[in-house]
Amino acid sequence: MPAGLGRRGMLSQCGAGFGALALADLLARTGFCSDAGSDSRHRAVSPLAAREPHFAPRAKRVIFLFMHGGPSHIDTFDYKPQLQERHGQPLPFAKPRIQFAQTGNLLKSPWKFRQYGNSGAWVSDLFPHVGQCADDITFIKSIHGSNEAHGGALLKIHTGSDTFVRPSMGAWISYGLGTENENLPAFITISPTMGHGGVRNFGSAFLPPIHQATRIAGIRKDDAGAMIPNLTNNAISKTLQSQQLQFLREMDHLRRPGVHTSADADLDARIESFELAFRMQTEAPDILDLSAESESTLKLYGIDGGPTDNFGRQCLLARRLSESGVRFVQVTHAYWDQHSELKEKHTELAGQVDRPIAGLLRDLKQRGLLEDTLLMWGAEFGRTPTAQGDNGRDHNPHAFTYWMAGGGVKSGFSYGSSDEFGFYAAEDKVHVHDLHATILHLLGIDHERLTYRYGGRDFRLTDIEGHVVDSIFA
Amino acid sequence: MPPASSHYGLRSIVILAAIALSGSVGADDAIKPEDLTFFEERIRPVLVEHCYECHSANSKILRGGLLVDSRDPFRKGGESGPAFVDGKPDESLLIKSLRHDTYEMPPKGKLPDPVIADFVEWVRRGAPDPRTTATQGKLKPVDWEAAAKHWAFNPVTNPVPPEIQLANDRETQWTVNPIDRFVLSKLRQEGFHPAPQADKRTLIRRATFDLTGLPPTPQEVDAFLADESSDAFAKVVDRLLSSPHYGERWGRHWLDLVRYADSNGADENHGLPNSWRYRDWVIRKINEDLPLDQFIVQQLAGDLLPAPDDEKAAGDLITATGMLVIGPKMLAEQDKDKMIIDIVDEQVDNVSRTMLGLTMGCARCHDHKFDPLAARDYYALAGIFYSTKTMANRDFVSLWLERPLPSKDIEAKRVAHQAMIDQAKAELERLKNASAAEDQIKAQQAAFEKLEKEMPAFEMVMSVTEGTPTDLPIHLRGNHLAPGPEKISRTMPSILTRVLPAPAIAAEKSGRLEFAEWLVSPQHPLTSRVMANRLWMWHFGKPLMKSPSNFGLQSEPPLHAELLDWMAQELIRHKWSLKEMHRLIMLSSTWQMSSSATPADEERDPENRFLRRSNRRRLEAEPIRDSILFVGNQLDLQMFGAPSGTDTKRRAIYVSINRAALYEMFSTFDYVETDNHIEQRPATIVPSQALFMMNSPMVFDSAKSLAATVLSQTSSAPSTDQSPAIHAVFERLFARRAEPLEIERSLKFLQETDLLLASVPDPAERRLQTWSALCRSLMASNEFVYVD
Repeated sequence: MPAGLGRRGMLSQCGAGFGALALADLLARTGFCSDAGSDSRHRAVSPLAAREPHFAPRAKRVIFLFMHGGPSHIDTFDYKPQLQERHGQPLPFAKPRIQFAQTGNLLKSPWKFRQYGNSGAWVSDLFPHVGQCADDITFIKSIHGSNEAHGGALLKIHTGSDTFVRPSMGAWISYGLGTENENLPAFITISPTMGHGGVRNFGSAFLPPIHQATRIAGIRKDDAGAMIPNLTNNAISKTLQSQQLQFLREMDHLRRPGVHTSADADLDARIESFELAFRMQTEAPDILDLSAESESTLKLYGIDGGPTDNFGRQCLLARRLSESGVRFVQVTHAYWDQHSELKEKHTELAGQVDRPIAGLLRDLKQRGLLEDTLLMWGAEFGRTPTAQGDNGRDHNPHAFTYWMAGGGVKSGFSYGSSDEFGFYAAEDKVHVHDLHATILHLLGIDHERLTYRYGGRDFRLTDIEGHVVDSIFA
Repeated sequence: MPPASSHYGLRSIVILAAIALSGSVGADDAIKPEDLTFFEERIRPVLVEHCYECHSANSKILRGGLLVDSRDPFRKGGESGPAFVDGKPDESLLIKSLRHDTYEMPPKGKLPDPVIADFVEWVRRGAPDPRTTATQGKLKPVDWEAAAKHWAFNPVTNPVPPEIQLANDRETQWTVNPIDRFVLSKLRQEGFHPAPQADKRTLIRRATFDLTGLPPTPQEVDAFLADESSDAFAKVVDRLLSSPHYGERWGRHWLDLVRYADSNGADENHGLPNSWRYRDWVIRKINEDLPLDQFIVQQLAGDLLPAPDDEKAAGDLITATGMLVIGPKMLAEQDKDKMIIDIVDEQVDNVSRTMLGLTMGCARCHDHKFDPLAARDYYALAGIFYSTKTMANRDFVSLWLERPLPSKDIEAKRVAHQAMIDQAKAELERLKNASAAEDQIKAQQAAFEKLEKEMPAFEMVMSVTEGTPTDLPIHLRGNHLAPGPEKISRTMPSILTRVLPAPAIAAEKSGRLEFAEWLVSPQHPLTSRVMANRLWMWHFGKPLMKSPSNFGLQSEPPLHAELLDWMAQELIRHKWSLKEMHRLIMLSSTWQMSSSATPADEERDPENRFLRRSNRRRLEAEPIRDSILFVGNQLDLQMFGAPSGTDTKRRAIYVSINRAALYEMFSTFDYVETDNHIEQRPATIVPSQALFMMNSPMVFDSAKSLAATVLSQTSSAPSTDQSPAIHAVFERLFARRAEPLEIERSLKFLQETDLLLASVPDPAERRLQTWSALCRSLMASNEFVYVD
């Protein structure tokens, strides 16, 4: 193991230095809506403390690689020989009622596909490195959603609803499982897109605000360093800060001497939250600092100053956060929206992510993390097999591909299919709600039982939908 | 009185479809043996395997109201109509769905062709089905008769403040107004005593935050302490009510309800460049004490009220309706019919939660599960908003409606300016015709174009206008592509019109104005209660009725039900004046109690439901931010106008609310939800808040500024007594003086810090840094962010 601590080492180290009892006590009181709302059912339960899942989980945490813009499934992982054959011909069946843009006839893929591994998965030349990992992957080629515009589709993928304001899946998972490391947030999103739904895509909506994602920006090569807001300041020393906290605590005691009643609980908890923050600012910068990683690890992720450098850093940070116990880490890569210049842009974008993604998968595997970490790749939709112009494809929410690795899914497996051109999901269709239900199930959560009462109704990530796709479970 | 029979008529369709009725099967229904075999071998196994999950009595969720696990309900069909046409497979919905012609059943993928052929044959034979054992329906409809008795759906009562025998002088003094009589009577029943009155410093701090969202200045505190007259506190309340900052505080409360923001959010986060004009309207009208009933009517239908002669007043009425337009909208939704109906839904949901305290939105897809709100009620109300125009167009990325503010001045300027343009144009033509020099023509062309650009523009406001009056059909499962057969006349929810009849809506009107006026009728069972309850919450930290935006059957009846109704009546008696209500509440002994508590009482009544004491409450994000800046003399109190960036020193209410990228400080301190109605701000305690107080540049800057001010105003020599400076910091931060032990501990901190900073060579700079550290630490304290 390279410099830095393994996950367990990290966790045990975090456990040292403060009283476990005090922490448990603090967690039992902090973070929940102590004064708000009509919904008291969950009040007494800490939202931060790790919670027991409904049943034995296959995965304990998730890394979601989100390809904003919508990469073309039929040019990457969903091979359509028919498309090559019928190039230039009209689509032999009806296009959807609502389309984002008008498209013409069928457009063959500009990329060659080849088979990889024992599973013989077909992967295009856009993703040779990921292709080599095919035997660790389950492809789901029959995902379908409903919204044909980016904003709606992003919200659908992240929150399950393009109509209403709902918590994002990371927030639901944080709410359902809490965190493995109380010094870090349970849900972190790295370089998220601020358009197309923006914060709503990683927000907590009606769930307690603690479940919203913490944003990390500034991880790119030329940035000053990964940032969590207000995590550090350069103005004063740690000693002075710790002296200030001691002063704060003692002054609070002078103000409120004697026995504290339940009415004091919030004030007690707030004083303790400063202690927690102090520890967080000690631990988090180490995790955000990639400099301790070995040469070979950096190479594995393509962190070499070239085109893979930025995304490589984000993937590596995702691994570090994940192994430190962050429950849900999302990494966003943009912008795969090739209405035109499909060939050039997809080549460029895939060139930025292929190696880092394969590097992350391999790194997780060699560290034994892949066993209980679900790595997931996907976007808000795929693209049409019919052409927009002569080198572009339109949005297609009716069929697209997700793939997963680790976290209890099968290796070298493919599930579901789209029609012969890839326009509509055809066999073993997996709706976005089904995808959500399946992810929750892998984490040991029954999607029908993970509910939150708001405005007089119990809400779920999957609304009233969702079927668990258990065929992909190892 | 039961709901109108027509109402039941529609409900019964759905219920009949959803709930299996025990079919009586006579001898006529005997099935031929070969049909029975066919069914058992070819049909039943397929139904069990592929359909029961969603369409049987044991389904976790019954889809589309369709049951296929027994004969009669299967034949009746679901919400979409009968499943078969006997003997005519091609016309049968079941077969069409299996072929994926209409619905796509099963949704996971089409069944193999031979299986579909079996179903075709089965329907051709008349769908013989032996399963006559009735299955029990799962859906229990809301009991409307019982629901009609729900307190909140019935007229506001007119309770008389309890006549209680006051045991002693203290109690006599305590009961200064009727609120106190209601409260004391409940306290007595439980054997509680009201907490003593808060001291004057606590009172003025509480009052100042309550009414303006700012801390009092030391001068204001001193003036109040010096005023020994019996109405000293009443004078403070009056002073605060006439402060322009009152509207910023109470306007912000209102903006929470109506999900105010400066950008669209949703899918395309376009700026809403004129949203702030609505925000300013809210602040101004609250400051003017525009009666709450008119405040509501103008926001829903200001454009439909008779236009006043005064153009400012006329413009205000249009500006007010911005409330309906500022919600998040899916502007790039390409199914424009869906976009429109989603916007209508957003309006119905927001208005019903804000004004009615009802979650009407639930009835979009089905009859409300818990409340007597049928889908029919929803679409009757939705029709009103559907008949209102909110969007300017249905473009690819659609644009919301904005309207010019009337201005004779700008109109005249435009006429004058047009004359200049015309003149420049004529001159241009003349030059061209006269074949003048190219330079000359070019210059004139440029002058002409410049003039065109400089045409004085009207000020634009977000606003609605009347659209095409339209009755909507029920959309099955909320799907606009699945309209029900019947158009629902626009009207108000029937559970409420039992008590307050709905006014007629003329065919050529949307009904918005009628709805608004109905809402604020003194006989309305909900509006005054909902508003009185919100007023109470914003003054006491907790509402009388626990779920302020849900007065439905799921809500808990308020412990102080009579007090709530009395407050509602009082609001009407005071002609909906908020300022009168503030006076009433703040001058009560109930409001003026201290927050002190005994452990025994806390044990018995941990939530302080009986109002034994004041609720200590954490300030919201805005007052915290404003206070930080205020104590450092850094707050810019300039009011109104376009929103500022997050680095502004103006009050938080003027910080741009970007729905897609909310100001970090706001979300850290629980102002998270910008898309939705906020019924009450949460108050979480999380480490990121501590990090903000420990490390944010805002706290650093303000603490330093406070330290500098205090040091400059008190003796600057380190050798002299430091306590006056410490008192000054305390007075600024906490509106009180430091206790001796606090002085002692602060001095110790100053000494320690001075040692730590020994490397700072300049003594004045070291002293400033030392005192900055003191101010920072005290700003992090509980006392600074809580109101006692």
